[in-house]
Amino acid sequence: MIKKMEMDEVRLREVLGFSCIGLPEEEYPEVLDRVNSVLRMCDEMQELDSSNVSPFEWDVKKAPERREDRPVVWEGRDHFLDQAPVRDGDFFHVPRIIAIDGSETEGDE
Amino acid sequence: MKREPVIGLEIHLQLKTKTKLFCGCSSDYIGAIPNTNVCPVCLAVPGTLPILNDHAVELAVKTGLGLHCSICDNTRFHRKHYFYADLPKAYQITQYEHPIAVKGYVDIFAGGKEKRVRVHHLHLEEDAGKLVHPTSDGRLTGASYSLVDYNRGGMPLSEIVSEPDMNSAEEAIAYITQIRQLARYLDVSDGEMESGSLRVDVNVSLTRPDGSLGTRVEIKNINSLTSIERALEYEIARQNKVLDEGGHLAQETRLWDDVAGVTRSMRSKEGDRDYRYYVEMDLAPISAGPEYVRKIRESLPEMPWDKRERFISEYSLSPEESLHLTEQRETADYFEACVSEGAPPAKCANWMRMEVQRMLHDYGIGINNFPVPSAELGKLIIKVEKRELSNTQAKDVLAVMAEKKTSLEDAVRICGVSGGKITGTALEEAVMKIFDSEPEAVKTIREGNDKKGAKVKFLQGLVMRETRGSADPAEVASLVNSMLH
Amino acid sequence: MEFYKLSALEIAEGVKNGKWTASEVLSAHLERIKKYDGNINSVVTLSEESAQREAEEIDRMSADGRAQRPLAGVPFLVKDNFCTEGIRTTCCSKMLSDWIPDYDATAVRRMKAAGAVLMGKTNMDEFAMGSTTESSIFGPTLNPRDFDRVPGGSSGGSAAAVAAGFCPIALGSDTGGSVRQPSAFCGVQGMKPSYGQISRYGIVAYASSLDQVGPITRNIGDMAAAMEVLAGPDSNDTTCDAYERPSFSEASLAGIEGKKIAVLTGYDTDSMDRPLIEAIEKSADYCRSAGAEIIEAQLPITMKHAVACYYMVALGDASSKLACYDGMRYGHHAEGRNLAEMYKKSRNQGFGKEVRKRILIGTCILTRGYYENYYVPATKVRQMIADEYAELFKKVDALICPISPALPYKKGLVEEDPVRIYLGDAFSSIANLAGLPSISLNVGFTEKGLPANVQLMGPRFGDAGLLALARSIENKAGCPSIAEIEKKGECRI
Ligand SMILES: [Mg+2]
Ligand SMILES: [Zn+2]
Repeated sequence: MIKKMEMDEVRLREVLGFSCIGLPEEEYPEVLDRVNSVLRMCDEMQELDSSNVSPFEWDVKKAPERREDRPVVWEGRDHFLDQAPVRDGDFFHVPRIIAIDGSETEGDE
Repeated sequence: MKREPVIGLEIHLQLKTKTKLFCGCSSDYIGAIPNTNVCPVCLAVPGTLPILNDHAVELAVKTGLGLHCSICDNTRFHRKHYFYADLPKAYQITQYEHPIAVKGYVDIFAGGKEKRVRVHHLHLEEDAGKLVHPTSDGRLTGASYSLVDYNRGGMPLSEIVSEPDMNSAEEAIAYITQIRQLARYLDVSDGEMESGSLRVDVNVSLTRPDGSLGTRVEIKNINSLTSIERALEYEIARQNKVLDEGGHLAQETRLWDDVAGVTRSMRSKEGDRDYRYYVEMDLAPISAGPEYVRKIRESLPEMPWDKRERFISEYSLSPEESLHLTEQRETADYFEACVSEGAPPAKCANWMRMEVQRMLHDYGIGINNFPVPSAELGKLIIKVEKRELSNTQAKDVLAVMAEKKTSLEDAVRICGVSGGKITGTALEEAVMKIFDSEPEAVKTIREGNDKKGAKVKFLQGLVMRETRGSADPAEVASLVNSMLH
Repeated sequence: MEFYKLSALEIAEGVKNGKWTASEVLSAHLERIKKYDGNINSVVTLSEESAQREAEEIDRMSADGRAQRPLAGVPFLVKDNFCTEGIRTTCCSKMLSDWIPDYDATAVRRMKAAGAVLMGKTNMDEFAMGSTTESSIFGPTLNPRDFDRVPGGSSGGSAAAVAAGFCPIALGSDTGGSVRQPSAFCGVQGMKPSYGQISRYGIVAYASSLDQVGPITRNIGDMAAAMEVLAGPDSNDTTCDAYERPSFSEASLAGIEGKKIAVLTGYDTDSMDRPLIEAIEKSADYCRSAGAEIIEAQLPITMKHAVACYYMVALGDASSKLACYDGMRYGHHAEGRNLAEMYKKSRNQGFGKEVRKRILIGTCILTRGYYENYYVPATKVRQMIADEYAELFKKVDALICPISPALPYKKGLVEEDPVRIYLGDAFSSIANLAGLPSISLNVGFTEKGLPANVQLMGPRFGDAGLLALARSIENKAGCPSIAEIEKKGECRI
């Protein structure tokens, strides 16, 4: 059963953080409007009984061959690093790391 | 009522494949120039797609079977989203709802008793890249910039998640040790904490007065078994103290600071993160059907715990001896190869525990690099059994074999105990030599003045010393007697 | 010789038997593009030098008698979200405005291997997000049939280029109609094959489970030939099926005698443009006269829920696939005081407004609560839609239905009436949801010269049969003409 939910500004602010996108406040209503109109369209799915249906999966006619564990060297490495906007010798250079949610942190595993 | 610590562990094993989990990049990244083991797939170049490494699946299934798990027929990958410099796609491909192996267990031995720790599941996932911090005091805070190396990015990991079944640091260590042993037995991972091929995240909480689980704290950044022990002991004490003082614990992730010996809050509220897991549709579902699993099951080597039992029953070894010999698969194999030469198991076990162990320790090597082939040690032990060599001589011979990397025969020759037992003409010569050096004693005996036979015994002793114990005392006695008269 | 009027197969035939050279064919097409593309802005990057090299290579080989390749010397264009080695691939976004891939998408590689000559890249909606080709950083493409109208999108540049006679074959990508709707707007033939028919490797992703490469041509013969070249397994894409494909060219000649074909009913025909309803009736008549049986069919679940379902799946995935653009390894980079700020600035400056909004909507959908209550149910409904089709195709061989409810939009409608544009995906997106092959087929023009296309759908991996149906209708309806782009005069680029 689908529960009717409304996207609000609080959640939108979170989402801006999760997606690393900035949005001027005057554009909040438009985005919220669009999200909610998609959600309202989805509300109609409530009428369907999907309790015995599993989420969509592709039918495979013939499975592709599995990849063998054999190393391949990529020739384009230098060209790629040359093009990279933040190359620093053999590395990529990034500014001070403050986690996206504002805290300072090690990465995840 | 005393609060009991409750511990659950997440162990990441880096799998021993030749290539990464989703691309053909070499997995041999340690010591490589930064960003050389990379390709468009693991750098998340637009248009590229992950291609699953078949061998990684096999190794994960192997591990799962070793952990007594059920292997899932249809398993799926999910995307776990978060932005971070070490994660090029901004999502990690991992298994979430449909891990490859579920519901297993590991039996551990800690605090003098056996205990079963349940394994919730094992899943496959890709590793992240590595950040290098120019102000490397081990902590990130305050660094003005970081450098990113994607050589490790995309390496195959199998994450083993335990149930919260451990109640002490000792049990946690025993569990990790057991998993590491299994990984090495199955040859699925090096299982080295130092190089990062085995990494442990710890979850610890204290029981509430009603017995229910208290607030759970996760500890990351622990890089050795000793640190795990210290971190656990610190954290258990810290939580007790907070509660004793009437405080509240936050559900959080803390980092272990090995230098200061404390855990520190990461200041990031894990609960607020939303990884937005959902099915990775760039990868076809993997099916590890019963036939596939059966083949892998059949290829599995004997498990360490089975070997331990078998050594006790088959070779009549003590549990301690068996435990020592089966700790590493290579040690166990070496031992069995010795035995198969015909040497008595108890003697082999003894030699391995005493002499071999001591030499390995002195050389600072593992059994794999021990220069004496197992068959040669077996033959050496047999010579001692046949009394062709004394124990002391055999130790000298073994030392020479190891030192000079020579065969048993050559070592025996070098040690001057060539041919083994001294007998016949050689022994007669030795006796003559002693007689020549002790004319007074010979004279006394031949004149019938050695009533108590003390002088005869004296001469026999000298012969034994001359032959450095390699003559048969009975033969020496009879030869001395016959040559005197 | 007016090479631009020839079909791909005619061009290849002439190259193979020495009637003309690939270089001649190429320069005629390049000339036409340079003269007239200024009128419609369908091409964003022309790679003359590499094209000439490729054409000369084909000519060298035909001199040796080695040019027996199916598309020898056929010039083609690809949408700017196909990775092309050495040619910038921008997705018509500032984000990738100077990104040059070091590899060819599998589809491009296969076309080249078949002897086709890559001329350049076509205009599109930024990151394929749109259905009017107006959101490109290179400016909008105009409809070659009517310069006041949009060419559709997001593969608007590819469809417009084929209609304008710039090339006989162009490639597009289709996530919810992005090949077929512009084909309808420009009056050409466009196909979205079954999911898993053509490798997606090298296509800058919009939504992993919906995207599919699709050829755009002026006739079904060329379409079948292109399909034969493009379809096939690929070790770089495990979602591309490994089954053995039939010969699409041969199969497209099979006719439809005795086949059962359904015409979709039960949708709101009043809100549709009249000529498009007539086009469906006409197509049904053609089928009857070709010996097929026509029945009516309804797809209640699909018609009611497809659009909502499509938006959940497409936007959710887009938010994920577009997360890799962080300004670090490639693409637009902005300085920031810390990592988070660098990401945010790079993404804000690099992505256009519509792309940013779609990423936000997609992220919303996948967050806690919304994921469980909306996204997961949508994936179940998606399965129900696929099942509804599977049931239908047990009974019939194909389905005829609208591809777009409307004739080509006037320019600027996106701003005026965005809802109408979203609802425009209602018919096209179902083929993507269910993974079915679908062809947008031109069956004529209105009095004002606007094209009227219909949609033909078949069972998954029934692509060959669908081509046979399209060909049978085309035999009666005739192939669309080349748009008279010259009437606006020369406008050299
Ligand atoms: Mg993990
Ligand atoms: Zn790689």
